[in-house]
Amino acid sequence: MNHLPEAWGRPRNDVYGTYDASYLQSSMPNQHTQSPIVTGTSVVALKFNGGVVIAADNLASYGSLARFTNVERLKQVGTHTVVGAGGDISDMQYLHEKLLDSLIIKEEYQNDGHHLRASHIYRYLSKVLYQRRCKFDPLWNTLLVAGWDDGKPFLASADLLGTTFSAPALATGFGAHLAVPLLRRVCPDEAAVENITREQAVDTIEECMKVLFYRDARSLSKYSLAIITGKDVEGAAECEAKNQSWKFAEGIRGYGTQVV
Amino acid sequence: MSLPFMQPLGYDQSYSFHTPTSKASGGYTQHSFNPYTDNGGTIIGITGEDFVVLAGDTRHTSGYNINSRTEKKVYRLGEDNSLVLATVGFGADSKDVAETMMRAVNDFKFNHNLKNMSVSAAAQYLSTFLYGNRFFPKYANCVLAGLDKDGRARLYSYDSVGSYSKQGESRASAGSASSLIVPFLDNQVEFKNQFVPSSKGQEERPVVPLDPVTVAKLVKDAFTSATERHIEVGDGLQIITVTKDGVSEEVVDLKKD
Amino acid sequence: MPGFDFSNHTRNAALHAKGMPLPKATSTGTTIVGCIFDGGVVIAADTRATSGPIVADKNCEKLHFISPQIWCAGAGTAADTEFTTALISSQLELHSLSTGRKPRVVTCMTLLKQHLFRYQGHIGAYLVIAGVDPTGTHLFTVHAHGSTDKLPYVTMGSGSLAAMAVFETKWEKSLTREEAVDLCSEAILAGIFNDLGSGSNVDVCVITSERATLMRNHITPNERVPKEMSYKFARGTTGYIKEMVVEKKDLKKYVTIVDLGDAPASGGTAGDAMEVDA
Repeated sequence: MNHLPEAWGRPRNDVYGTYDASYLQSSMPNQHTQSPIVTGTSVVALKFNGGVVIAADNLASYGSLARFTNVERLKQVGTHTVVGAGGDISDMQYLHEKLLDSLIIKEEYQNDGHHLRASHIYRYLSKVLYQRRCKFDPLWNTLLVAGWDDGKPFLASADLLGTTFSAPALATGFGAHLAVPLLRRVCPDEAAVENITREQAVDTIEECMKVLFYRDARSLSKYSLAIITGKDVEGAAECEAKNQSWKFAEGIRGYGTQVV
Repeated sequence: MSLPFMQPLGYDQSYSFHTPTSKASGGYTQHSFNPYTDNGGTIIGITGEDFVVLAGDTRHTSGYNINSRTEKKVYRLGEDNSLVLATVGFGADSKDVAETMMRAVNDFKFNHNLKNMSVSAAAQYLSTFLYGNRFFPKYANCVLAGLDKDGRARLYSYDSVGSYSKQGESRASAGSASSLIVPFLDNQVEFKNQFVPSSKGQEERPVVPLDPVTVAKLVKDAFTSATERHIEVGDGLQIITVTKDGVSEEVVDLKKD
Repeated sequence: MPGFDFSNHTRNAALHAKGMPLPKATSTGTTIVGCIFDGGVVIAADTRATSGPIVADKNCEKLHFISPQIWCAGAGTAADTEFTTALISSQLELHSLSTGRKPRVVTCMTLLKQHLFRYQGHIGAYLVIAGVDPTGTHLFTVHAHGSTDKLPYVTMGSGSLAAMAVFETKWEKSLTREEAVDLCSEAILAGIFNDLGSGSNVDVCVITSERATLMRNHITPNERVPKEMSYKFARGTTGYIKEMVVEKKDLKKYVTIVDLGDAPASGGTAGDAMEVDA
């Protein structure tokens, strides 16, 4: 899938040939999320020995305009789960406020001592996304669900088509291209999770957010980060990409024959 | 090749952020949303006399990205039966088909006094289910296997709208590298294009059921070879073997490039 | 007329409009990178060539010779990268002979961008050019449409983001030769294992003011495991419908047969030697 939210769910050029967008040009009123409007970019997450770290920046873009710069794209759901969303922000807010909040309220009103865990919330969300794609009315998001579940770290992904998969290191959007190679360097497989400390995991995620800020034109250096362990969820909003280095720029003179 | 992110979709056709989708006068809706994608991977199935092997790689892809190296494609349809289903194609539909089959097999058991669904019944059910979605197909290619009431191995393969052969097959393959693997299995399982050496090319080599050791070797060689030549195949190989003594699973490594 | 032949263009456009698909060109899905170090420059590439999802070549060479101390890594349409670099290599050699000076990297880059710009992106060559000339060490990228870039570290191809992620975390302003080779190799490995368009081995070329060193298959992390069994067929397995033995004496009725004799010990066939002027 392409990293641009407006290309998600579109027929891929390399498979179907160049997409014919000509018939889209008309002045009819538009229906929501047949195309995303205000969008969020990558979400990145990594498992470690004892939990999961997840991060997403605080930018909501309107096309190429950096429209809102303090949007929270991570949401704690229940006691040991965090859902991170990329893609359409209004669909994300619908998921957060209309679906997940009422889901947790209903669950807690049962008062039966049972609480929804990460795998339950993930299954619920992936079914919602798949049902909506089957109705041809998708929720234009890619989600990462991170949590502590059954004594183990949990991390999985679901997107607007209902596609689901899980891995010890995941990233959505641009992060799938830029951050995943960095995460896999630390965590090539599930067995490696055991040897990753919490500090290492946080450092790696911070490094990813920095690289994404360098190279993703729809990103922001301000981001939120959450750490989910067996104990609780620790959230850190208002993180700033640290240790940035722009020293490569020093020697650059033009793009070709120019030397001074 | 025009690489997917050198000319991202969003740039070359300038997708409008205000994509109009409804034709107010016509009463029908035109959507620019594509509900399908291809998540790559390949599955194969080979039968012996009284055992059957289903295998699939564990790579899950999107375009040129690897989503996961450990996503399994072969499912047992219950803990106490011999039914095994492998699905490949669009990941979400594939999982939906697998879950539907698990549910159907489970429901059947509780509706029939704890009697297990036979493999031929499961085969027909899967066909009916897929055809039921004829006009919004599940983009999932299925291979179903199990042992029949006499303990003989059965193997069925389907297209995405439910066409299958009731007689079953001795071998099957589906997914992105099936065009590489099918000719290999035709030659090595059905002995196609092979003649008895002493017959001066007159007598076809007789087909005999294979033993489990040979089948295991064929499965591994089919996948290591497909991994060499198809970019969407690799990472891991999940092999499920069904015998009268039960169902066993093995996962071996494949190349990760 | 030199250059491309466009005489089939109208016919092909008409056929394409009637639904005939375009021929599929072999492409080098590719990760290619380059990095300057203290005293020279390194370029590196993976070795997978693809045609759609099929691996066309498992160990192809994407590092192209341009002049003794200018090398080029190519991504995009395989034929375009090969022919374009060969063409510019030739022009540069003639230019060098005519001026009596060593070819310069900026000259090479300018020839390439002007050639590619003229063809408006239809020549699908995406290149990383590196070299050392009397004016110093240089590293450029050239895109198929003719734009260029000059940076201390560059990546291109379908694995460019994976490779760039490595550079963005590990690059330093001052690097030794070994550090630069290792950094470029690691960037290529990130492409090989994370991008499906890239795979197999790492090729590296180091260029200093003294010489260029091509390290073909510098790292080979993807060797195939041995097959589980042999697929050698018994002699006579292939079917046939008719058997007819033609002997040499029968053939002599129709053609002249000259016996070449036994092959000499030095290899090659007797009588196979080329005629050379005395």
